[in-house]
Amino acid sequence: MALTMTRTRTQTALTKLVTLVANVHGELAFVDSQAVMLSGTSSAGKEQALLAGLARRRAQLESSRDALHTTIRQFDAELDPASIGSTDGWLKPFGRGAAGGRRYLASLVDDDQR
Amino acid sequence: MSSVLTRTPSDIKWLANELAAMAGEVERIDQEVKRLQARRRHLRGVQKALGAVADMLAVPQLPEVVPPVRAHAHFRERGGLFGFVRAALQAAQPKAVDTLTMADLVIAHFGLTFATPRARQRFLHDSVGRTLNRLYQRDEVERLHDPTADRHLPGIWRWKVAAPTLEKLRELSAEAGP
Repeated sequence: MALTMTRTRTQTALTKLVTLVANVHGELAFVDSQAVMLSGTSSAGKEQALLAGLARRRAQLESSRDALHTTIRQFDAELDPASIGSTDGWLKPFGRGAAGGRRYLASLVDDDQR
Repeated sequence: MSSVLTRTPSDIKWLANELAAMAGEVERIDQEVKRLQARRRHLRGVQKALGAVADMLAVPQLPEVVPPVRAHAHFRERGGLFGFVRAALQAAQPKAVDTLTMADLVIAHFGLTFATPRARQRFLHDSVGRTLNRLYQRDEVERLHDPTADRHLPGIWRWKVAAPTLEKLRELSAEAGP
């Protein structure tokens, strides 16, 4: 790969970055909504483990979001990464819909127990 | 009776001048070091963020394998040439600027030097010419020359202002009625 002095920016590169941002925004919104729903429920061990898993994932996502926002601004200082919407592409590996969401949450608990 | 000094002896005056100049230079360097340290911190942060994105794109080794490249060495920063040409045309408006004059302005502003006349000619065509064409394509400048006429004549460019054309004024006048 030859590096270019002109640092050419392409629409393809921007699309890829924006997709990553939209996925992180979407996942963050889901994590937050689940945390709010769980915060009012019982303090059973399963719920507590899930809340801990959500908190850990949220911290990772915040870090990813900050890195991506900085990268987008580096790409073009006039772009506002906070205005990028969200997608549910991040859920694809777990399957769509409610079942996908449940599998995603289960993976957070599994990660926590490992 | 001792006489009162009314004039500073020239050796002390010289020493005072030199001390003041040295202190000023050290102060200037300290400010520059401070500015560079802040810029370094900022760039390290951006570098870290780009590395994290490389990780997300499944190429975590990328920050380690890319060599440093001194990009934009001639024009100080990304968009340096574009920004200068744009500002120069805006400042010249309503007058036009030809490509050769613009190239001279750019060369003087950025302190560029060329090994051969051919290299200078290439810079004029490739860098300055393309930048002016980009501004034309963005509809920010108007071209006052015919690009299909004599290719050896320099192009003439003028910053575009949002003023109505004569045809538009005629249309508006006709609409308004007698």
